[in-house]
Amino acid sequence: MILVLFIPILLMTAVVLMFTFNPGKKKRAGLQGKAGLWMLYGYTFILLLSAAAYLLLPMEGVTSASEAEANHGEEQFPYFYDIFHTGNIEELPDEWVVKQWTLNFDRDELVLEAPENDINVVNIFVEKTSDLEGTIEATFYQTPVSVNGHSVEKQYHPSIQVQEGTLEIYPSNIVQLRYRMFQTEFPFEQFTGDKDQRWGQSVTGSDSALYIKVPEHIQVRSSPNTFNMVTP
Amino acid sequence: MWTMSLTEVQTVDVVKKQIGYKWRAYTGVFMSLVIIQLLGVLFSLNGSGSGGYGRTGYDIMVQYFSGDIIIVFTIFWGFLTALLFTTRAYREDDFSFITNRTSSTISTILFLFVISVIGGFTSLLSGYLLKVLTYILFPEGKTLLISNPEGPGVWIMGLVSVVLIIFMFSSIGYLAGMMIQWNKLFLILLPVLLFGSMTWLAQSGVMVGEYFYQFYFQEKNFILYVMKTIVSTTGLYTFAAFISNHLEVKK
Repeated sequence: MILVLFIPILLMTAVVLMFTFNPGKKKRAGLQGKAGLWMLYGYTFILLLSAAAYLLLPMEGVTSASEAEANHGEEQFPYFYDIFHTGNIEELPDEWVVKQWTLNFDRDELVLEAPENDINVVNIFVEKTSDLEGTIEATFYQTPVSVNGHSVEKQYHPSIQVQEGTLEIYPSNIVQLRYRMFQTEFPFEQFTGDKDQRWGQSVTGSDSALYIKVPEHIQVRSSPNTFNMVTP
Repeated sequence: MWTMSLTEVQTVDVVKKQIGYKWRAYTGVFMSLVIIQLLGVLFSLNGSGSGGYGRTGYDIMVQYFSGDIIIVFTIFWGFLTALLFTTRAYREDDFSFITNRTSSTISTILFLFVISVIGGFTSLLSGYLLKVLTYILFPEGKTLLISNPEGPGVWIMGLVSVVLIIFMFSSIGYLAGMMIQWNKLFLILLPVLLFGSMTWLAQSGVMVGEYFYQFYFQEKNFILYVMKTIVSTTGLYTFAAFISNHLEVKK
């Protein structure tokens, strides 16, 4: 393994020795002459062409992580989950509503099951309300996701269904996002303060919560720690 | 009024001629630069890093491409080239002119500065070559993101910083080379002393490599960075010149 790390160093040493270390004058003039200079001129020309071509590539610009956070309202709502705990969900922007369900339910007891909600947990909040009768309302909220400042359009939401007095919450298909990022070189970032985020520690958003409203008289049962009861 | 003496004029003239001579004669330096940067491009085609992020409902993977490896290769090229310039064959080349040790050393250092500027400029541009090649060769269905230097000011600062760091590493190479020319034992002693002391100090909690990295590569203040690299480079070249004079005496 260590040897693999040395391969580039050995290669470079070999190249420099082969082309630079050429002390005999005759040899130098014969083998290389002006070839090295022409090689440099040609290479520089190709590099300049590349720089011009690069500007024409169709790419998504990115903003800094702090800008992205500001754009996505995380500064405005730093205590995302507190809002759910207090039941003040009307304070949240409408854009954060990813999906809503209205489900018929005419029983007195609701069993809430979220069997696969243990990795990348969806926080579930339940509020009893006198505004509902014969139905359950569920709303999935999510703060907008951005990757290195690029807004992600694809949204995720869990699957919900009611079966014989049981409200089942399952994770749905994971949204797979694959990016190639053309990054600025380190000397450009050394003095601009972006270096701390060099390796893209700037995936923002995707705080999520499932807010369920049930009629006041319904008893909600589940295994421990499945949901948080909201008392507005 | 400041005037130059005849000896100074002659030295400046000789140095100029020697730089011109080196530019025409040492074209292998440019060949090795181009090949090393192309090697850097090749090594970077698979990406210079990647990051995976798991969020509720999301599996995010970002593959990063930048010319960082090319720049690191170029820094190493500066070090090696300077080291080779201290070999007897190169040093004796200068004596085809009417010269002395001082003008020979000055012309070599100035030539190393010139090639550091070329190396720095082309290494930064190579990043664009890498990105365009990646775009053409791997047209996958991944979304392409880009972060660019914000404005010409940042680009110029980046250029200055990379030129200075290549030049500084060339001074390290030049000093190491001079020490080896002074006494061949240094060929073994230098790496042993360097890595030995680093390991020994690391055991006492002093991470020299980390300190070096922080001192130069994490300096956020541009002026301070320029001062640090220039002072270090000047110190290293002065020491190398001092050894060079002793080489002459030894001979």
